[in-house]
Amino acid sequence: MSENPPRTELMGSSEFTNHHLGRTLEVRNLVKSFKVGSESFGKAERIKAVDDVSLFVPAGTTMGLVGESGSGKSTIARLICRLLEPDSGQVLVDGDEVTAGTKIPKGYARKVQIVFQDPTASLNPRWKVRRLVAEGIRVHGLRSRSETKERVAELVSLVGLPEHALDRYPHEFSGGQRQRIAIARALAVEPEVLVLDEPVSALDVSVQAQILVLLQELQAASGLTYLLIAHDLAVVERFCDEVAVIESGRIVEAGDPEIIHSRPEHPYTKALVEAHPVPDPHERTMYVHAQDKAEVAE
Amino acid sequence: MTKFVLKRLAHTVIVLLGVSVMVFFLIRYLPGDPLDVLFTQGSGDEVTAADDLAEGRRRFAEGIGMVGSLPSQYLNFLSEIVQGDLGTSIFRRIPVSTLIATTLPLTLQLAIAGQIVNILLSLPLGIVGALKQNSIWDRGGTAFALIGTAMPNFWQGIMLILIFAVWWPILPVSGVMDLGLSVEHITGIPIVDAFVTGNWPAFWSIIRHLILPAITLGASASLVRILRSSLLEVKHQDFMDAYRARGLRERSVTSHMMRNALPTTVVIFGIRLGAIIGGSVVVETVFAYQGMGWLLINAINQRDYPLIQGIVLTFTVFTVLANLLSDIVHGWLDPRVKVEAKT
Amino acid sequence: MSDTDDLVRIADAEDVDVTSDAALLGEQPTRSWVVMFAFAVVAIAVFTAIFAPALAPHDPTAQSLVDRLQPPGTADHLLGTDAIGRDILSRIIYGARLSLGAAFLVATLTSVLAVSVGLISGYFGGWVDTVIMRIVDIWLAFPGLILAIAMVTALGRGLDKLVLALVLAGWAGMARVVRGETLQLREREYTMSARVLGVGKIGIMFKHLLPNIMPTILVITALDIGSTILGLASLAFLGVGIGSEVVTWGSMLSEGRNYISTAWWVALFPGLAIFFIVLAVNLVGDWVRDRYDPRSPFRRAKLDAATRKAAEEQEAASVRDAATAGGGG
Ligand SMILES: Nc1ncnc2c1ncn2[C@@H]1O[C@H](COP(=O)(O)OP(=O)(O)OP(=O)(O)O)[C@@H](O)[C@H]1O
Ligand SMILES: [Mg+2]
Repeated sequence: MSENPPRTELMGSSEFTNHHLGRTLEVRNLVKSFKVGSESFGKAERIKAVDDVSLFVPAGTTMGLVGESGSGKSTIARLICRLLEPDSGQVLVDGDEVTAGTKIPKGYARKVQIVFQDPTASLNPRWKVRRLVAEGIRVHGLRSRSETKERVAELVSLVGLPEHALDRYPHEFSGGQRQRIAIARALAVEPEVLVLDEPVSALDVSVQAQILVLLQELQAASGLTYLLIAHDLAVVERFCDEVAVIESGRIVEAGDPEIIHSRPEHPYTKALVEAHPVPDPHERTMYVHAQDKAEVAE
Repeated sequence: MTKFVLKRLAHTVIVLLGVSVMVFFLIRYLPGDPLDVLFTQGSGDEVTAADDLAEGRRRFAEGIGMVGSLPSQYLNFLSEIVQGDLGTSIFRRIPVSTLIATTLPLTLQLAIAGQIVNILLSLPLGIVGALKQNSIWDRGGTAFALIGTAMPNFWQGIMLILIFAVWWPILPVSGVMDLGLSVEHITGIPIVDAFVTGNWPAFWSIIRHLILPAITLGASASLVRILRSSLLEVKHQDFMDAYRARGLRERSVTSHMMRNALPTTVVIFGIRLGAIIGGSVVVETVFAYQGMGWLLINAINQRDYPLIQGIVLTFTVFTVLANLLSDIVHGWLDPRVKVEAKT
Repeated sequence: MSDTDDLVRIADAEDVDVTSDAALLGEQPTRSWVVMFAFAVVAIAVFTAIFAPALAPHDPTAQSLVDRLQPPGTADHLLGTDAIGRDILSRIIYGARLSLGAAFLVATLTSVLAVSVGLISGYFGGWVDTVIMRIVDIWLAFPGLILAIAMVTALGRGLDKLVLALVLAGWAGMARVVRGETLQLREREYTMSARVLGVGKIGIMFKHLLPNIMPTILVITALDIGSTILGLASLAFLGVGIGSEVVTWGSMLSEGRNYISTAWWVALFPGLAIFFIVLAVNLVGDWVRDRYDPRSPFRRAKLDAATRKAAEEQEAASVRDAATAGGGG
């Protein structure tokens, strides 16, 4: 694991540089099917939501996963996070298997975290931000009480929220801010891999860019490995090092985002590209650099 | 539809089996040994001499099927109840099934009479409430239901007795019909038998005896709120506006409304039936109406366990079957249910 | 929630679902003066129950054959006396203790049992859920009062056993509702997020799911207390599980019935007491539902957009429940 690329030390925080060596994420021949329809008379039909999917995401890079609704993207995300048991196949983080069997050593739970599409639903409405962000630290007993407090404040400012956010409930925030809280919560356990399941598609277009920029900054600072799920090829293209296109549970095409976008080979990919017309390259750059943090100001 | 009914039937069979297990254990896990309770306190007239005790005990244990291992006891119990054999009453020395056969028709007669009162009150109140929402009638109906719900019906019964039998004595207060009258046994339901045989004195007497208990049982107008709200639900659905827009007269809009609100009402009616049956225990006790509920309270006071067991079982089976029936009717009236059952 | 049934938890799962959803449509919140009245009655009753010894003019069990069956308004006996000369007012005051105390205890214990069972069933799912839900179906198959009577018969006489019997007879309906909510919340992203963070099952159930189910539990409990009071009174009236050894409104009524032709007051006043307290408790229950039930339109109007979405999802789900109500899930 020493082949990991050297990491820039933007964060200045020693934890980040020492423990946050973003590692590889590997998925091997993952299969998952679901029962559908009536079970009453014995013969339930099954659909393969994920059908023999393999992916390799090098440390500190971002892999985009694109496909239309129902193609199995979220199912892959859930399999990676052990929210679902695969029928077969493995998920390896940093070479260690994280999906085998039912009992996973607690330490592994820290390696992969997930950010969901709907930030409203992903934060317990009855908890204040402080407790939400601290939960992971507490569960794993990572720090003492006072250190936890400090660390939570640090995380909240890291994701660009003001300190007074700590004592508020999720409903007091905008969608973009809630997504920042969700990110801080995931980062609290110092994961190596972050699965982002359409993290911006529930947000206003103007806010989407801010969140993507934040994620990019975090990656640059700590070398996190991302699996970014989207149904919009355009979002993925400007943000990812590599892209995989999924149709009905199967990866149909993978490779460089620019190439896939400009010269899609698979008919499905072509259809996807046509569904989202190529934005002007110039405009695209501006989009990424739009670091308007107005919404954070309060 | 057939599939839905089959599924529902299968479910009912499972539930009934469960009910039988529960009743079986309830009686067997009485505090301490029910036999001890019975035979040390000497509450039975047959246990006076000490040497009779062992014999009485044994006979009793056999009588309620408490010999052998638990599973075999249960299987015996089950096979007996399937054949309609519910054991023998300890104190009456009559088969429990015979006792139930004579009291159940009375309870049914009362429950139906009570439900008729309920519907007679609820229907107009609920419909007017929904049509003239928030009118004085609507508020009055809601208040009526609220009061009816809070009023303990044993008290209601006693107050009715006070008014119609003590202060203004026009109605009988206890029993099924006047002493000295009797009806030929045909269906077992006295009011029907009296009617069929043209026994008018008995028929009127039965009706007069039914009035107060039926009012007590049904006057809570428990259906008002449910009826009103299911009507309102339909009233506010888009398709109702569409009807209105198409120029349907308000009268036929109303009839559409009723038809669409029917399924929900049927289900609630079925669920309520269990409640009505429970309520009959209290009402029968107040009016000394010799139905199954009255018999149950007697059996409890006499610690007549086989009888208690038989009555509890019968009450429950009836409720379950009523629910099954209302579900099937509901499924038949409301196509959405079938779709749900499939998924 | 109860009528003829008189008993507890007839307000079972279906009832709560079907009525609280549908019944609310187009219904207006209870007028505020009515709510005030209800709270006042409950407050007075609670006060009376607590300070019974100080408030009661007589010993509720003191007999006096000279003073038997005195009509109301007699000197010293405001509400008259019963057949053995006991002061009815004092007995009603003491009776409040049992009515409210036992009902409160039953409601609390029932919630605890129902919530534990419902949470476990909903969260663990699989065969655990199947088994528990079958048991719930069986429980709900019994008419409420009949089940309570059977339980009391099995457990024996005494106040403690009566409370236990009512709890054992009444948990199933609420357990089903809690289980339904748990099933929904289990699939919420915040639950999954906690799982990914490594929070254990117990932690998720008690820290994440329970607080979010609390409003529903509160609403059901509030709606159930009235029928619990009626249930206790019914059993006392029938003399099942508890007799006249304890001062209860139900047993007073049962005694009063025998003197109805000569002394109407013996039966009238305890009945009025039950009626008013149940009416008030039910009104308070409705008020609680209007305020805290996420499905209530009165509350929905006040919710912010985000919570509204969640409420609508729940609504959709419970309409589905309602459609299959009694279909046994
Ligand atoms: N728990 C489940 N039970 C049954 N079927 C499921 C389950 N979860 C997902 N599916 C099915 O698996 C398929 C893939 O679903 P998935 O949620 O992974 O799609 P997705 O690509 O994330 O879609 P979207 O873009 O809409 O989020 C769908 O057909 C879905 O219906
Ligand atoms: Mg998805």
